[in-house]
Amino acid sequence: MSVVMENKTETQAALQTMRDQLGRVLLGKSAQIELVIACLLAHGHLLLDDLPGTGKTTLAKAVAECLGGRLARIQCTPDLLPTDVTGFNLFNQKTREFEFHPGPVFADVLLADELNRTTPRTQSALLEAMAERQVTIDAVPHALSETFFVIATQNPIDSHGAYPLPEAQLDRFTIKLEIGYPDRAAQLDILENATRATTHSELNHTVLSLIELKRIQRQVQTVTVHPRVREYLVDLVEATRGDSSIQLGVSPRGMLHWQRIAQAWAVLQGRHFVTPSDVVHVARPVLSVRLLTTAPNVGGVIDRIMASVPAPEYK
Amino acid sequence: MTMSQRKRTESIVLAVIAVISVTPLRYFVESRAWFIAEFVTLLGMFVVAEVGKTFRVARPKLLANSATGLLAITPIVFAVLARVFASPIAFEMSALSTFAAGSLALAMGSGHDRTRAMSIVAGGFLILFATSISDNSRTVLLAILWMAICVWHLVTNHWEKLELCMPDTVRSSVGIRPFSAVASITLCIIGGLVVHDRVGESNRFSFGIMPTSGGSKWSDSAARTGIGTGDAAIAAKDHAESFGAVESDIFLESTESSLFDMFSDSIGEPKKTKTAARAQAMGNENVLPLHERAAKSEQGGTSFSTDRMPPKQHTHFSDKVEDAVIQWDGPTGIRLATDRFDNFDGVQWTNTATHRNEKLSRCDLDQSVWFFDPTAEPRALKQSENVSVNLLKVLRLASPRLPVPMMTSGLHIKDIDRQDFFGIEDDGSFFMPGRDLVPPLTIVNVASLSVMEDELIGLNAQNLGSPRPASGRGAGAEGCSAYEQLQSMVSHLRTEFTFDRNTENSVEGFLQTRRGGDHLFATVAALKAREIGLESRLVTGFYVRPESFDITAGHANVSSGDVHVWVEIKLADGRWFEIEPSPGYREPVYTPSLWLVTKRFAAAHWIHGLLAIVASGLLYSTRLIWIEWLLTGVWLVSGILRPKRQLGLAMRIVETRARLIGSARPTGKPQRDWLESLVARDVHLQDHVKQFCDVADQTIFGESGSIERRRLSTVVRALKTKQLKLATHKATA
Repeated sequence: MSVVMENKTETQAALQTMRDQLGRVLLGKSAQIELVIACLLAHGHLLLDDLPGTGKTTLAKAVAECLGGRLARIQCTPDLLPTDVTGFNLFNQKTREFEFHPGPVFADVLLADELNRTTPRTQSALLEAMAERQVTIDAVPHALSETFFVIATQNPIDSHGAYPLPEAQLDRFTIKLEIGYPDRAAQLDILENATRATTHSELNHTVLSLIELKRIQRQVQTVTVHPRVREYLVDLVEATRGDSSIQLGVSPRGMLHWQRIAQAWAVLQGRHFVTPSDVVHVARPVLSVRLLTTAPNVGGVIDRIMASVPAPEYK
Repeated sequence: MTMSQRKRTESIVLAVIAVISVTPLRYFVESRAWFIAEFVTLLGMFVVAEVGKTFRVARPKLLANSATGLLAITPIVFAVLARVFASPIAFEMSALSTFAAGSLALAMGSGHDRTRAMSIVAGGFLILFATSISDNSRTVLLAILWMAICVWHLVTNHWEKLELCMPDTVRSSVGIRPFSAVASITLCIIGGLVVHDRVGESNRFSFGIMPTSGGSKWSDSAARTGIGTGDAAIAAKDHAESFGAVESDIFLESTESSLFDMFSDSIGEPKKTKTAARAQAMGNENVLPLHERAAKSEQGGTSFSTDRMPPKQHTHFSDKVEDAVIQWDGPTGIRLATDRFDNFDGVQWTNTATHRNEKLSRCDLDQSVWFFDPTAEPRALKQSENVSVNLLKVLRLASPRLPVPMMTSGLHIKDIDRQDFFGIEDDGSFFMPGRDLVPPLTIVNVASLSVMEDELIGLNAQNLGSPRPASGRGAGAEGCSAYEQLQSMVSHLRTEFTFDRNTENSVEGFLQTRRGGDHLFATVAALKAREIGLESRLVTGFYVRPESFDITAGHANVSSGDVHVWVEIKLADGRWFEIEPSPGYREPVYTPSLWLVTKRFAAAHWIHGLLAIVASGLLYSTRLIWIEWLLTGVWLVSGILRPKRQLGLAMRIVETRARLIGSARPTGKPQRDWLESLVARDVHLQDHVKQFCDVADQTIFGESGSIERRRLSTVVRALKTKQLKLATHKATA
């Protein structure tokens, strides 16, 4: 018991530091940071859907720094090839052997910028990496980092030459976030920080080792989900499938993602069980990435579905 | 309850109502035992199919499915069984029941919206059909109930989103479901009231009387299908026992000739019985049985003999001893008037009026010829819904006058279109002119008006120059209307005096001993009515005793012992209505209109009504207070429950309070989020609520530890209606 408690406090302390650190980088966005951490703990991937210059890259970098892991970045352009992402075998004239040159996916945190600007072919190259955490090159599977975390961004305005992400790809992301513009106070802080001398060193330290992260991820996996909460999840998922304004509802994989991130959210709140509130809190980012609606306003549809399914009560 | 479960329950309820709607159509006409057996079987199957699932049985699905299947075919099985055991159920009824059972089985067995819709459509058809063919006006209530549930069902299935799409600001506290159910019922009732009285009334099919000389006690079912037409020949052809226009002596049961015999040109004068019988062919199927009855064939060895048996005596001769004078097919407990007298000289009543009219106006209605009293005809034709037509069969009445109910306006005898058959005597009674008596076995259709009590209320008392002219209009002093005085006079006679025909009394003696025959009651009542200022007259005739109704024959026998005397009072428009002063006789029924009943009820109970309104207004305006008390009381006694139940109850109490102040928890919002949003502005409460929610979450979803009652009580006490109001007010502000 005491070990568990100790673990728990340790975890909470680490998570709090991570919150603080990310909060210093991305000002006034504590709610989004919370979800990003939840996504990380849920062993998922994150899709950022936002305007340029709102701090997506900064966030990704900060996450990588917090973990002390490697950050790789791909700038997705139409001429990007799958091998540019995954890596390739090169014939070494000296050794007369093929040598494997790992691509950027072999990092701990992968930032795929403007993912919807590249071709579907390259997008698909990420599929296996994201789902299986391995890539297969010339029939040889290569395992990726165990804490492999993809942060992809897509640009909503830029429709020229954009290839919308296929549903299969979208479904592999756990959540979609919109960081949005910071509020007035935060913007003032940003300006003020920019005039200070760069004190990068204070950021540059690891708060959560990869091993630590793996432990927490395993802990998240074992968080209790009460049968009634599970039923609630199933009800919600079925509601998305039965709704007339939704073309594609939530898949079983999406449902698993949902449960996992609800568990992660519970851990973030310092609990070892999931409550209906956790499910509701993460519903919007989870659903917005994978619901294909006929109505232009996805948020409205999500709100309606959440309002129509009765939440489990205290009884 | 999940949505599909709710849909299923609702469609089952609808189907059950459809099944119920068949019940009144069948219950009263069929063999009770079979009917009850069938419905018990239906119920049993229903229970097995529904409850079987909840108990642990081997292969519950198979059990439920087979029970549902059996349920669907139960009416068919019973139709066959009942037919086998010689108690057949009408095919239509079996078909309707099959329909109902099928609808129920569909609703129970289906997992799809489409099949459910089929069940609802079938049930709806059944309800509509049952309502339209039912005699009872209350069946409409069943239809309205069905419709309300159906609307509720449809709205929940198809309009739910509408409610959710509405912005919170315009979302009313009354949900869209109750609202639309109430609206559709209102519409339905308004529609019903609009078409009310504009569609033709359905006529009840009734059995009439066959002009058989066989008497009144016994009646042949086949003869009765002749339905009082006088056209007995058809019945007589097949049934020798019945009397008709057949001169054959074998078939004739009576020596008396019927009206049909006398006026049917095709037959002419009745033949003398001495002359040779003219036979009319019998139906083949009747030859043998009749032969067996009239002759006896015997076979002995090689010989064969047939002996004609002596004609049997009439088996139902007893009727002649029982002196039914007339037979009456209509309501019982009423009076049939023959003579009226309007002048009393202190000893004797005589008639002075001159209403004589032998030229009744002819009127062809539905291919039959009616003769109407010219003064009453327009009213009778205009208010046809107030006219009731009954059958009078005169057996042996030594008078040309026809005993008919009050306010009779017209007469009709089948195939008679001669004007000189009917007339009105000086005293206003119907009679057959130029005769010594009404021909025996005459069947007369009598159309009489009924009168609503409303018309009597406005009774005007004229100053008749009676001995006490001071008692003019309304007899002022007491401030009572003439009608009320009349009523009190009649009830005084009926309660304070004793009916005894055997005492020979004068009016004075009657008033002293308070005992006398009905003529004395009637005389006193008539004179008293004149004192009030009303025009009255004495009426003699017959009283149709309720117990004289012969259910098998479908008519009442009125004998000479039923002679009776009563009183009629004149209305302002010249019509006369009767009153019954003699105890032991039923009083005439004057139905008050709904409006009058309402007025009377309001007059009697307005103070209660006012109090009720004030009380309910008070209750409504103080609802927050007393419901709060109630909830607190419930919470106080809830200590006996298990901790988890207590937690549920505590939340329920808080939610009830919130609903009362119009900020109910949205369905999709978890209770924790809702509570936190409620107290978002209240730092003190916030802590309480947060702790409470933490513990509650831990108990319910973390399944460890238990919540203390102290903590629950804190929340129940903290989140009183007042605080909630304050909190929501802050939140919106």
